[in-house]
Amino acid sequence: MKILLIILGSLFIIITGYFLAIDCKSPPSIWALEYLYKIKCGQEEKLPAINLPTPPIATQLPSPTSSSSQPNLLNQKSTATQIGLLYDKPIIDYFIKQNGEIIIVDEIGKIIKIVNGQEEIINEGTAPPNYVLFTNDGSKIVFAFPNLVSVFDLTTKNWKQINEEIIEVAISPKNELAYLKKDGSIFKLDIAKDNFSPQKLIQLNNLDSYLLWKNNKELFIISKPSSVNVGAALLLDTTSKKLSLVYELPGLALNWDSKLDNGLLFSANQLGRGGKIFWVNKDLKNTQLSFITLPFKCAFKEELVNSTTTKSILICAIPKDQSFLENKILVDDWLSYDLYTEDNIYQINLDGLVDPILVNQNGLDVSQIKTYKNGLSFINRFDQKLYFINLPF
Amino acid sequence: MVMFRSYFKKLIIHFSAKYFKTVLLGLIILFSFLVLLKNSFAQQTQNDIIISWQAYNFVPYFFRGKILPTTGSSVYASVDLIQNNKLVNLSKSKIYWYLNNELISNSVGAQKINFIAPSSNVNLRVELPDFGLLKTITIPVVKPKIVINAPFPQKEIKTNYFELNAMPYFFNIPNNDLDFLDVVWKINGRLQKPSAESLFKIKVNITDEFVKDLIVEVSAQNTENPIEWAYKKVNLMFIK
Repeated sequence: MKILLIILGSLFIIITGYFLAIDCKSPPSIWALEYLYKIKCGQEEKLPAINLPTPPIATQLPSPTSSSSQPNLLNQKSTATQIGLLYDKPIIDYFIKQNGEIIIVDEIGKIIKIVNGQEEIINEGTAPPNYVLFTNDGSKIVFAFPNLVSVFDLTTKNWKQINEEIIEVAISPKNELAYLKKDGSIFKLDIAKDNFSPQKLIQLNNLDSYLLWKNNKELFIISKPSSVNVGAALLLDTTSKKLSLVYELPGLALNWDSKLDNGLLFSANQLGRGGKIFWVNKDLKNTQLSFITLPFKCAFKEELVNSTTTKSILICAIPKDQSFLENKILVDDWLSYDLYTEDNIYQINLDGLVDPILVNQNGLDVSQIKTYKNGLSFINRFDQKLYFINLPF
Repeated sequence: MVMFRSYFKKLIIHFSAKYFKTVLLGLIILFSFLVLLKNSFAQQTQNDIIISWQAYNFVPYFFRGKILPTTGSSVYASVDLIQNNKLVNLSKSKIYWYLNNELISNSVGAQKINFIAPSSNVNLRVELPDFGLLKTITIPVVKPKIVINAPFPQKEIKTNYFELNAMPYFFNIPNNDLDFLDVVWKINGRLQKPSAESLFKIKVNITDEFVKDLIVEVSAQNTENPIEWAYKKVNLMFIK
């Protein structure tokens, strides 16, 4: 009896000790300890496993939209789901303004404006950019070339170079540009102002990272993603300079909506194939989603709950063949174009509901997805063209 | 009073003798508990060592993933320490770097190091003796790869004429110059001539009406280091 009591007492003490020592940032790898982890951290929720509903089958992809049937993405409330082609040549990124004007950057960096179906070349491209970013009103475009960043003003049609050895850039909701230099230092500058006067935020030694604004104040510094590397995400408070390690996970990939302060986190499985995706809210609370997709295939949308409150809903393009994806090296294969997926698009609520919102369309590998009041737009990687969907919200 | 003290002393001695083992075990358990408790409070001082690394092998300009090292690649690694949400200045701290358990740098303030990737994955350890901290990471060493960009849903081709592009990744070539790669294309086992614009592109024109399946193969070899090569095969279906 005494021995039993001693054993039980020891176990109690060991478990209590472990419980107190749990680090909420590192979930245990042993399943038996997960329960204790969840009691203490309570962070990770999982939506119940559900089968993805199959949307109704549609016909072929649409022909290019003529000027007379310019899709209405922004202003009218649509009553049925429609898919249309906004631009029928390969592009790398785009911006749709409130008034329906579309700004396109094509594969060689050419800037094109489309108004009522009429194309106007704003600037001839000189070199293909690595990627581009738009300011929140679409008035300026930041071109990230290798070791060079240039800002194009669509109003004055002037270029302005940021004369630094910049390797990564990100734009905040209030149009502040954060940039990471080769030496690991991070700066910010207000590109709305005529004179660029950068402010140094921090001097890190971090290599091979990218930046994402979490909101107007906080900035993520994230390892470039690979399933064979344990990636880290740091969060920097640009005002207080508080810096913290918020995630350290294999195959970490993060995508964030800085306006709604919500994001998607991807983590690879132990063997580097397949993975898990999590919806992360502004408090960095994770909810594992019941399907696999890539964080770059999702966008957030604000929905009115009543006259005073709103809630964030998630729109995701989800590959139809989920088991196929579980054997792929994610996200590497998709980023290197070794993998094309065929997606349906769904609306996901945090209560576990997954609603099909798009027709079941063959040949859609969604990237650069963006949401609007009455619809969404994306680039289809199969043809690199720009599509829109009017949604019956 | 004296009697009471003596009685109390005897009682303690008697009790200690009878329950010596139990008391001893209890003390050991209490001690272990206090140690665990101390450790848990010690973790209130949050220390995070951040090790990052970068390889400079070739990737296409649009690739936003991590560039992985191959055997012989030059790899840079760096360390930062975050303590209680503040970045620590390590410029005057001892920093020991170990590559597969071999010391490669022990200079004060050496936050960045450079090494050549061996033939398999690397264990890289950083020790910060001034803080009593260490961290080990594994850096993967991979083989280069080549991708055939075949943007056809279901891998079905519906036109007689189409183009295919090959995209090399992670080759360790001088100045990331693609001229150092030899590229060979084959379709259904037959060598194909690349397009005039680029060795990495072929223009395919299917004239044989009986062709249904296309097996496209491409290989690339580093002319400076022939051991470094990659191969890819894609099966396409020709739908008339």
